[in-house]
Amino acid sequence: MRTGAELDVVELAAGIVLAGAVLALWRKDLRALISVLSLQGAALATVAAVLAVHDGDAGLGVVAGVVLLAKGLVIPGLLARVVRADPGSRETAPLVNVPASLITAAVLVVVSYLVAGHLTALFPGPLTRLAPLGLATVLVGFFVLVTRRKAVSQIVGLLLVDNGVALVAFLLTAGVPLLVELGASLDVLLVVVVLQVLATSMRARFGHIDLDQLRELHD
Amino acid sequence: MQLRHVDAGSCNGCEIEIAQAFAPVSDAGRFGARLVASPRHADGLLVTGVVTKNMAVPLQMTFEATPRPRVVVACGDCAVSGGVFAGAYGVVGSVRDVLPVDVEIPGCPPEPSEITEALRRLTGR
Amino acid sequence: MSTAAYLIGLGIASAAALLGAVLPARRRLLGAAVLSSAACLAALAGAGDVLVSGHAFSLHTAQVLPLTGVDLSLDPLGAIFVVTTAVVGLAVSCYSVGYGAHQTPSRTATAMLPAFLTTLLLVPAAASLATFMVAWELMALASLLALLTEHRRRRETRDAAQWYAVMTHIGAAAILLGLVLLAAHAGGQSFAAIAAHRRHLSVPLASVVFLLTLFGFASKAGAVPLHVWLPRAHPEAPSPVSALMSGAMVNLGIYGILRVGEDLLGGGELWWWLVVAALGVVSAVFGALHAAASTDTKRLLAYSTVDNIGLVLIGVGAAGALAAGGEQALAGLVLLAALFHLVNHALFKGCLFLGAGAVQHAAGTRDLDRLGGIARKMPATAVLFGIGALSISALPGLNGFASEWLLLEGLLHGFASHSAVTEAALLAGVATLAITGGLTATAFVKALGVGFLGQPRSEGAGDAREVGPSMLAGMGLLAGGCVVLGVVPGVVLPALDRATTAGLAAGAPRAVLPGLGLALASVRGAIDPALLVGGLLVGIVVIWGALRLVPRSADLRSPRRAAAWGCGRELQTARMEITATSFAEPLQRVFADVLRPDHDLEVTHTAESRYFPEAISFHQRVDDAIERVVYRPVMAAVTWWGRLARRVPNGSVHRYLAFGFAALVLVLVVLA
Repeated sequence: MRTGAELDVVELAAGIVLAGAVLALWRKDLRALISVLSLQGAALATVAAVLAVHDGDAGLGVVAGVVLLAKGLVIPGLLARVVRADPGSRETAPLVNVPASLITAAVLVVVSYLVAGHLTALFPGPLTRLAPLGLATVLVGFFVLVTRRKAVSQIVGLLLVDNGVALVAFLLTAGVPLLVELGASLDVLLVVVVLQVLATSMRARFGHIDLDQLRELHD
Repeated sequence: MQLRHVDAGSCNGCEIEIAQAFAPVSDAGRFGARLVASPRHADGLLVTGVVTKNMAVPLQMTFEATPRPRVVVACGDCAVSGGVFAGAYGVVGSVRDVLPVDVEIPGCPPEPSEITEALRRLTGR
Repeated sequence: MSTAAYLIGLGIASAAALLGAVLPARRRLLGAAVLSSAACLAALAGAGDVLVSGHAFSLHTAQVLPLTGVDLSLDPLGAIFVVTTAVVGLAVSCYSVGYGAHQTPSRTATAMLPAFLTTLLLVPAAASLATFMVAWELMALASLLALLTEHRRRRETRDAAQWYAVMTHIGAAAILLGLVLLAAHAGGQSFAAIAAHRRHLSVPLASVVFLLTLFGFASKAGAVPLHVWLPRAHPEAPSPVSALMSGAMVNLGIYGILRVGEDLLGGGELWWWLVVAALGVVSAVFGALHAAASTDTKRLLAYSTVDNIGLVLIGVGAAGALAAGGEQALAGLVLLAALFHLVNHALFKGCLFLGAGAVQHAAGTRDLDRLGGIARKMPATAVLFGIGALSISALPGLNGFASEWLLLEGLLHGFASHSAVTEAALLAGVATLAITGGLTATAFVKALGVGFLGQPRSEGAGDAREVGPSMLAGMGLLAGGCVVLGVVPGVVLPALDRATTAGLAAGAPRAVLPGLGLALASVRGAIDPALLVGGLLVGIVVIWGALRLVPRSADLRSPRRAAAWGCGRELQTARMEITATSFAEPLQRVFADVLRPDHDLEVTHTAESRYFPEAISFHQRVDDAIERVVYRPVMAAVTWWGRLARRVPNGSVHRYLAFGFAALVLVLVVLA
């Protein structure tokens, strides 16, 4: 990475990805969560695009386009439709409250920096330095998955994990193969579609989309 | 001489006297007479009381179960002749009506000494 | 020649299993039985040749098992077990034709019996860790399936199968652990390599290996306190399977102890063998007591197996202890006696189980309190069962006497050894032999007297009919074996002598002199059962003739027939007969501390006054005290732990996710 500006852009975008994840922990409004997701998708696409331009890799360029399309537009759009059907729905009572969540997120970022030491040691370079950001995004996303009750928040958590994984992949190996990224994106898309159907029928049956009520499924 | 005692319908007066006959005062045992627990071990039967309908068959079966040669002793008036129960309902008759009797001991009830005396005639001592 | 015959036997047995599964219903029973009989004969020829010539054969193929291949080797020690299994197997195959005749058994049932037989024939020939464990586990699985084939919907059968599965797999795990430890230190997994390396083993390691394998093999042999599966599984299995289990499978536990302790570990320490002997003493007394108290025929036989295996263990333990003390000649004698008893036990217990099966088959019950009068309905079965019962009670002229006499001689001569501890163990063995002899006689007087004599106590017993010729032939083969080995035990002793020499690590001189009777070589002692039997027969003939010749009185010439004395009652019913429960009651009372009988008396009073009972019911059960004291608390603890663990996954998605999250973070932190 010779040009300082390109590196700056990638650093900024990666920072935005992690910031988006932390933001997702902070905001209770589901619509805000979706905006965060959209922003994260765009940042991820930016990282891929910059890397594609720098390497002159057309395949990575296509991946950037797909990421922007899927994670920046389609998935947030679908989620927005779910939320729009249930206006004013908020993540009212997360299992861990917001201040505690933010402190945990800080701890997780520290943990991922500690752990990623081994990863960065494999390919030392300016880009791999940023890998902890992706790892932290994965952990924070997982934490969202664990502590948030609404179905939409859960899928947001899952997408955060996915974005984190994608970021790590871009940074460490300069891009996953086109086919894998396409597959992963389609997978996530499918999950979102299924969620939409599920959330709709859950609302029809129970009047809410609160996952904690599903405990009856226990053996 | 080992005897199996059968109560064919007695008032238990004779039983008390038989017990006394084998008790220390008379002690029929010293003349060789013994009461045993099964006809299989016995040389004869010592029958007391009138033979009631319920006891007629068991008395006969006990007699059948006694190995030959065997004796039958009828002890007390009821066993000898029916006594006060002669001709009463539920009564078959005296022992003689059911089995061949060898020795009779009259009395109501017979005294221990009389029982001992009759047994001594059997044991020959 | 022996290799070929043995392998052909294994092959035919597998083919029998296959045919049992695929042939059409009408043919499969006979097809499987004929093939497994042929397999037994072939294996008998192969193993018999090894015993007679004394030359072991071995074989290695790189195929069958991946990575290691299969190692087979049959030395005289293993051959004794193959021969025993083959004889019992032959009888069982014959018997199974009649046993399944009234109602064609399922494909699984027909296939599992030969499959079980195959594995039983295979185990004693396994000559490497991998081959042995595979054969051992196959045997466990085949026997488990065979156990389940007849009444798999019955609760008791399922319980029995569960107990058996758990106990046998815990045992197999212990054996595997022990042998793997051994193989890791020896640097090779074939038994020959392990045995060659035994001098370099440290004593603590060898002791750990011995104790682990002893645990596993003792659980297969049914030694107390690992016997709990046995009195459940043997009664619930179909009778041919019970006979194979009791006559052949439990023996392999003894084989394992000898193979590992003497062959692979080379004899080892004195205290190992004292542990084995102690297990034997406890098993023998406990088994004999329960056999005397049982009222279920097959449960009685199962406990009697525990008893007899205890006697064999006493012999094996005493032999090991004597060998560790350097008394090779005495050790050889005692081990010979133990192996002889093992063979005899297989014969008479097989016969008894088949007889009990025939009675159950004909009368529909195996509860002694509901049998009775069988001897009049099934005279041939009664005679054959009687021969088995007399053999197991060690009456002279039958094989139980021969081996118990040898064992007693060996133990008594062992007092010349120079170790006080060994002498104490021998003394305990002698005392055990005495007390179990009495208890076994009680148990089988009960089984014969209550089950076969008197009047039938249930409709089933009254309607019993003699079983078919194939079943009688199966029982007759084993009963015949009992008589032959009882009258001329000398015919098998040379073979057993070879097995003994192979069994003891340090080898042993000949224990018996050649001849048809029993004549000890190393110490003074001889008895000739043939003379004994001959004398008895002559005596009987003389008395009978004398009675015929002496003039008799008129009464004797015309005997009087009379009914049995019933205290003058007119109707003699079966309810007045002594039952198995009442027969065992005095013993039960004396040994109440060990047997712990459960009484349950329920009195219902009339509504008017509690002085007048309306109904009285009395139940009595003799459960296994060891099961209650040792196993129940363990099971309760496991259940409690399981309940506790069930509370953790409560159905909340978040909780499951949290588990994953915590695990991920933990792994990351550990890696960092």
